[in-house]
Amino acid sequence: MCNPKEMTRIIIIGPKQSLGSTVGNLHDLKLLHIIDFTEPNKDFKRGQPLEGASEMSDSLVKLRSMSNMLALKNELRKTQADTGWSKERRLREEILTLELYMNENIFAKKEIEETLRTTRTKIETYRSFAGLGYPFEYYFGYQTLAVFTGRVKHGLFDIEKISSDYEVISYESMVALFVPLKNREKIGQYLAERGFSPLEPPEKKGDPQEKLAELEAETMRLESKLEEIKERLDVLRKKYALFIVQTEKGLAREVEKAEAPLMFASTEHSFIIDGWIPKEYYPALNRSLGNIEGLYVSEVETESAEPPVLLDNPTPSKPFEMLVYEYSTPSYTEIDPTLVLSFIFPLFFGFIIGDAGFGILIIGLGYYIYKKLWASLDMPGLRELSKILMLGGVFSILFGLFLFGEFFAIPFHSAAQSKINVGNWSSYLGISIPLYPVIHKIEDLPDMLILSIVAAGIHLGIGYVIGIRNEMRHGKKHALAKLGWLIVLLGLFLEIMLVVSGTRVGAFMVNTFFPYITSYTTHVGRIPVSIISVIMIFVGTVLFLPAEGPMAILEIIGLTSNVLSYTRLAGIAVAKAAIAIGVTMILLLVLRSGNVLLIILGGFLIFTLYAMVFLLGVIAAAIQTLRLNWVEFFRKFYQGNGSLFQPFGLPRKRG
Amino acid sequence: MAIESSVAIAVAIIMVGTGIATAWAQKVIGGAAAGVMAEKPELFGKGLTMMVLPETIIILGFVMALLLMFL
Repeated sequence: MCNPKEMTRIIIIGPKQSLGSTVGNLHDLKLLHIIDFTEPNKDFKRGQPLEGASEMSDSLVKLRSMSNMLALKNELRKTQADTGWSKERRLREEILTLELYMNENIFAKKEIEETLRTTRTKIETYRSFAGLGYPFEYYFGYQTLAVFTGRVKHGLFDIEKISSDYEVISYESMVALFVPLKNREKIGQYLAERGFSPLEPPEKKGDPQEKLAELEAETMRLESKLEEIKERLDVLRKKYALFIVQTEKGLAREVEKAEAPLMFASTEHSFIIDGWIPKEYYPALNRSLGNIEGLYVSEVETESAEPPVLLDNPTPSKPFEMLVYEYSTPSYTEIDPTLVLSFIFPLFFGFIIGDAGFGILIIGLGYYIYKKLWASLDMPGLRELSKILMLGGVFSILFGLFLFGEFFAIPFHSAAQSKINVGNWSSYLGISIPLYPVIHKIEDLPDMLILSIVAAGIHLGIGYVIGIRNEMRHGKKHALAKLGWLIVLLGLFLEIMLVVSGTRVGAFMVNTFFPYITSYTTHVGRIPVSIISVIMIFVGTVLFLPAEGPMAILEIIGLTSNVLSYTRLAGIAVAKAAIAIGVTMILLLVLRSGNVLLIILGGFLIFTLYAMVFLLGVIAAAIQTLRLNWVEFFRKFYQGNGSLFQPFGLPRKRG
Repeated sequence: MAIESSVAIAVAIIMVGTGIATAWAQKVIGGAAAGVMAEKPELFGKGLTMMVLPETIIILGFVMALLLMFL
């Protein structure tokens, strides 16, 4: 559970006759990660695909294009099992006939759509000329006149400037301008400046009105034909959608199996499969292949190659594996941080939200996504996210009840001297709730900040410990360096605690855990400096210098910055709480006014505001805890860049 | 805690300056990181890490502000 699943490399050798059944069994098993055979030499070549692979592949391509054209994406997603699919039907013929019929209709549809488009443009032109009201002959054959026909954006108001010798007919934005030949250049330029786009008469003779009527009739005819074709396609879709989708899925699997031998090494009469399988499933593999004739299955010892990684965690922690994979697939030899992440993430999330009422809402939101949304949306990882949300909600309720004593931004008991007055549940409900808040978010801001830094110390400390464990497999020098950094971290932490020992939490930390600090301090200016911290930082630096070089001393500043960046936990918590309290104050004002209309209208506004605060709070909390884990925590020990375990028979995951 | 007005102004200037600096730096790096991730998603971890490096600027500014206010 702290390591990826142990993998063992196996090799399967068998005669070509058994290739088909071997591939079939392996595909059903869904447990073997096949290693691609990439170096053909004179003894071993790449395997050939199984019989019928190219034909099936071709059918699959046709099916995919058909499902594309009929827009079957939703059905494709929803149809999980292909129970209706069976190999015995004469698939190839069915697919080819269906394709022919569909293509006929699709091409006809495209043709008609194209014709419709051109006809419609023509109609525009004819309509403009029809509006002008003259037959086409009027625009040609002049010896002393130049004719301009086309569209203008604005009117030809100032044409008088050029010459008053003109005749213009206009209809909406269409104009026909007749000017003496000698003015043609000037008028042409004038028109170009006024945004004139010329439109030539489409014919030399004839009445535009007649032609227009013809064209409109033609359009109606085409449109009705298009409807017909669309209906036919619709019928096709209803009749064959299920067939296409199920066959597509079934064929995809068969093609995958048929093309699998391309990954194997082969000789003239036999094949060799090289792969990784989790050690615990090796007996299952043996059993499944046991009945096939002539097979030789065995485990192989390799030291050099690195196995693919399949994380192994108990069910409550499993949703967090997605977050680990998202950052980078862990390397096979390092410790799997999912378990730690599954504790820390909800903890930080709960601390930031820290409100029992919002916690209940979050669980509700997570549950809703879990049940309804993940089926209708196509996002991978949505299911894991919903589980993470629900876990976060549980912790929010815990923090809300026991640490902060808040329920929907109204505390159970008010703080002693509070400038904020939202009342408290004890006085509203008339009963004294037995839960007393330990920290008030806004009143005790310094305490919140210091609590965040304590969290930082613990979190980063865990990070360095994991780093030490990881490095120990590689060499003592780097492990010692990580230990050095751990000591530096402790030194910095002690120093910060000393500086803030005046506050409640600071005093608590110092008195409970490090009482000896206060006895060995000096002062630099007005800042107390603990000698113990200085010694620890010095010792730590000496430890990590050999492995990381003198430049690493500057990293101490980086570490300080990492520790302080955890104050964002307090920052977001207090900010969201403040906004929520503000909205609550407005709510109380509205409720106390007694004006029913105001209450109803105000109710909508308040609800919207609460929803916004809620959503923003959840998103901010999730992203910031994720960032703290990824950037500050993982960077202390993570190696990453492992290869993902992709078993034969399951769809390929990205990565 | 009573803060002198000069201290308050100093703290404000600190936060504004570091805030703008961090935002600008992260904007540039973030844009580049987004571009890299579009081509090679496996570099997400490195990209994210690079993007938050300038955070140090504002955190140290925050520390300075606290020191000014409380010490």
